[in-house]
Amino acid sequence: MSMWAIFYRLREAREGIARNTWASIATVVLLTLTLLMFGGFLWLNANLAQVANLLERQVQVRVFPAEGTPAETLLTRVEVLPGIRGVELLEGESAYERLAPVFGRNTLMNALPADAFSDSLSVELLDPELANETVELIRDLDGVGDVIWGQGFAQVLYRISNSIQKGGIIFIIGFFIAALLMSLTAMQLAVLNREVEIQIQHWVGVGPWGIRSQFLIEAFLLGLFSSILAGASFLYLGEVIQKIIISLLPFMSSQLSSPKLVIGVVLITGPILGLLGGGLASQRAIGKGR
Amino acid sequence: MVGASGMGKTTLLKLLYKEEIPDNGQVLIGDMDTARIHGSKLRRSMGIIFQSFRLLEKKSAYENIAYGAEVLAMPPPEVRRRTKEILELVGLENKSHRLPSELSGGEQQRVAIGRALINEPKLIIADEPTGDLDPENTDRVLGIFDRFHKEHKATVLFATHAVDVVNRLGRRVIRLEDGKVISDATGGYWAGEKKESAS
Repeated sequence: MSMWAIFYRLREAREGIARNTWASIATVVLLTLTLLMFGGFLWLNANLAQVANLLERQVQVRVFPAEGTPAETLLTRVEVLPGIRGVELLEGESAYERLAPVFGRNTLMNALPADAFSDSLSVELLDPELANETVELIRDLDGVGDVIWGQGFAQVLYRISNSIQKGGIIFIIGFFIAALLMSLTAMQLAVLNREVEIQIQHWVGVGPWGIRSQFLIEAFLLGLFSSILAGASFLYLGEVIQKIIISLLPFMSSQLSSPKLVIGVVLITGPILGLLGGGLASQRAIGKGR
Repeated sequence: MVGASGMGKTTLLKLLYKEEIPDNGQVLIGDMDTARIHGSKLRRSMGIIFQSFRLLEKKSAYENIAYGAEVLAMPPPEVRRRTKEILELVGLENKSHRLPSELSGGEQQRVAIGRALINEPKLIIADEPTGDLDPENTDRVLGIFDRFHKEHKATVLFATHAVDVVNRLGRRVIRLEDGKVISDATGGYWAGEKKESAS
């Protein structure tokens, strides 16, 4: 397509959008909402997966000996198990010492029995993803009283993430179909409004794709405009949401993924959605101008 | 090209600009077999005019004529030059900024003719272009075709059933009946449908 062809097509597209003002506004609003939902879903999902991953990687296994088993004895049994990077003995006394500056030594002595803090083992794993198996091995050892570790929370987050992913995909597909239908309707109106133009172009020798291109450009512009609006809104809303998450979960401050990638995806998706609507609607134009 | 309504004039014209595809046989324009060329490319060498003007209501006479060239991506300076020439040819240079609704029927038809001529076609196909016009505007339209033919060496194929128009032109007359050419004479005289059937 030559430079002048693009110039004329852009002018026609601008006039077309102005002619179908309300249909164009409705299309842009619906496309923008869809893209916002789509971006929000992507971002939420990426962050939930990241939190779950972070929690799992930071998993600390704490092993408490059974009554009558010295922690030192258990340490020698645990450290030889496969999947163990290292084992540290945590004396109950040290926990007492750590709490004393906070609550006061006297308060603690009065409030807690003498053996309130038993000795335990802090176990570091080689591969956090094999935590389940390793924990089971530890549990099977003689002299193990209790094993506490944080994967339960991580698994809950994974489940939430998966549910959002599945539900979100259905939700997004529904919105996409609605947005596509809206874009299709707007472009069909544009085709109907331009029957005379299409006929004239046909008579003077414009090819089917030449006729179609004006509708594709128009739809592309609507999609692009929607994606810019959605991207800008997402940039603003993303910051607000980020602040809320950090205020609730301060440890996430360095872990939240940047919304920039999501904004990039949104910017690409809008014009694609517009082009799909324009492409389907302009089949009609090609039929008229065969 | 003459013949009564329903004798196949419009169908023959549609075959020429590939709006219709023949079931069998060939459509040749000069040495060119139209089956071997894409319809849009073929139509770029033609100017097609109808009885209905099909003008863009929100564009001025100037813009309507220029539109025919713009959609073929002609550079704006060339569009301006040609549009000016065509406006002069069709005698609307003083009404170039008027909308179609502000023009008479004859003037609207001249705008439609201007739009068909702006790409300097080698073949002009006109299907009953004077059908809705009074004698004065019919004369003007015929004058435009005659001048364009002389200046650009373009062929004008004109379908009509108006006896006076055919006889005034005194050109080659092809007579169609039931889709068949029944006579083809240069400088011919056509007696008209009623007299013919009587004879």
